[in-house]
Amino acid sequence: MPDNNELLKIAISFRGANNDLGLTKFPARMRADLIQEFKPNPQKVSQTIVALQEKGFEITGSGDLTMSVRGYKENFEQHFGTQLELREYSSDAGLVTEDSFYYPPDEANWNADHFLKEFIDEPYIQWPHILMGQRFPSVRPSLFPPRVDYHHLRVPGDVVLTLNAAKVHKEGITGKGVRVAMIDTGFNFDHPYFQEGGFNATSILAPGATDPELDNNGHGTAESANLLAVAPGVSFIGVKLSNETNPRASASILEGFQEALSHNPKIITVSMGYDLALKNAQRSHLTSLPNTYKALEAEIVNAVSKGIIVIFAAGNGHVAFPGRMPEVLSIGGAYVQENGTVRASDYASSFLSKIYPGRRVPDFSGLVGLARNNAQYLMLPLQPGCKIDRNDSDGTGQDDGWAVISGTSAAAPQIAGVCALLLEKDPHLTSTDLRSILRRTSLNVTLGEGSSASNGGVAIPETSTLNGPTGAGLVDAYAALRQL
Amino acid sequence: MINIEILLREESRNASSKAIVQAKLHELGFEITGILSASISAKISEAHFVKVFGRSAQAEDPRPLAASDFGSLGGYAGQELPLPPGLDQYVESMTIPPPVTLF
Repeated sequence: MPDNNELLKIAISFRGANNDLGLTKFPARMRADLIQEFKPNPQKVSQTIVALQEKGFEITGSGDLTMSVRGYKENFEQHFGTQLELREYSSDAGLVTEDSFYYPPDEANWNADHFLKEFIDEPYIQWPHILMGQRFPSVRPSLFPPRVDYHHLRVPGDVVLTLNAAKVHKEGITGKGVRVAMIDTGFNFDHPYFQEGGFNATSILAPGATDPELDNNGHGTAESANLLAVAPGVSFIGVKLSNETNPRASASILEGFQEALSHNPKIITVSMGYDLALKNAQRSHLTSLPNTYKALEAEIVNAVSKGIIVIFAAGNGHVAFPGRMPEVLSIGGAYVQENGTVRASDYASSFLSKIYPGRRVPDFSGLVGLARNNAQYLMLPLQPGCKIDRNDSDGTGQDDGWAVISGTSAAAPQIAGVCALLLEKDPHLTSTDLRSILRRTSLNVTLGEGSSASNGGVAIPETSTLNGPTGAGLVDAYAALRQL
Repeated sequence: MINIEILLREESRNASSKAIVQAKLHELGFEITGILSASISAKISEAHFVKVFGRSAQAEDPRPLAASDFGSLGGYAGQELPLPPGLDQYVESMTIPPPVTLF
């Protein structure tokens, strides 16, 4: 616990010479061309330094816009007119330098000395550092996945072959020039798999998310490998939602969606959603969309009307939304057995929507494992030691940066990759075009059944129709390309 | 910070109405994080939430990996909120989106 004689680390931001608002009061995202307005008058900075030193603060550094200061709790409370409280601190993101520190209560006012208030925008006590990576192994993961003794597929080769995308690649089509945004937990492309792949991939933050290079969950990183296997030439934008330090501050899907839209993508793919089943034994379906989801629904409809291809996972037994919206391409799951036969995945959702009359979920399918195997089917790279990596049931190490997983989370980016291949060939294809092409060219699946959990406890059996649990079947990238 | 989604009425999906809503939200202590065609996204601190709505939002921790999914991100229980005075003319609904599930 810190004592009252411990120096607080304080960051001071000034009021700008040309903008009285100050950095912390500016409501929009800061831009390089605006930053000059926030530079303080140098004479005022000197006066502030003298004033702070006279009040017992130690100046430890200064930049063009801010200054670092150290001072005692008592001094801070007296001269900045606020009371500090002791806060406990820990983080999932790594070890922290201090487990408690002094900080003003939430929403506390401050009432600084008149002189300080005239020049200072805000004084901020700095939070303890998080030592990124301290909880993670120091050994980098291997480029090559570990061996496991059960049937599974690897990226990129097995996934590319099974979705019949290898023949498309041989024609020189890899998704070049197609911008794809994926909204997920986070994206850590430091793994040798991604480094070696030489992908054009970047990670950006949705509002509230932090640390663009981290993915302590592992979901986004792993699922993105599906997309980059099928369409290695795309321009990939990963939109991170997670805030590892304060998980409740993570961004919503809508915030991720708007961040994705600001990068002008041709495709947005999302491997998450909401389970809209009642909490009764039958998991009854809702018959109307609650208002809680209508803003997201409206923006998805609008994006699709503007020509953006929006893809959602159909869910893993979930009565998923937005994966059931008529406007989105809804992706289910098919399982290719060791002998090459294909069956519906009983892990993937399939149902008739009661909210959108006539809408059957899914449209078609990517590769998903079976429920009896916990859907462990695809060997995917992820951040070593992340939550998914630490799950020890898949036969891989807990911090080796590889995990055998799947779900419609994996299938959605696979099909986003196939769409990117087709859009490279014909950039004018609409969402309707893609749905139509992929439905008529998918491999018909006649074995297996869908998840019963998504359909009131009754699994939909696979038949030879286009409306079985895999929709029209397993997507065939080359067959689709031949339609263009 | 609590995520809030504001769905605008059809007739308010224009720049001038959005500016009015934005200003009112700002007055109430919301931080605007995005403006799209039909909606506005915002965040609000727990303390401001209590001031505006007279009660607390129910926090939800991240859900761990489960048999059918990869858990959920943390956040607050999804709910529809009463519209603060002055917004009902422009806003159809104001909601907290529930934590999202990772499929």
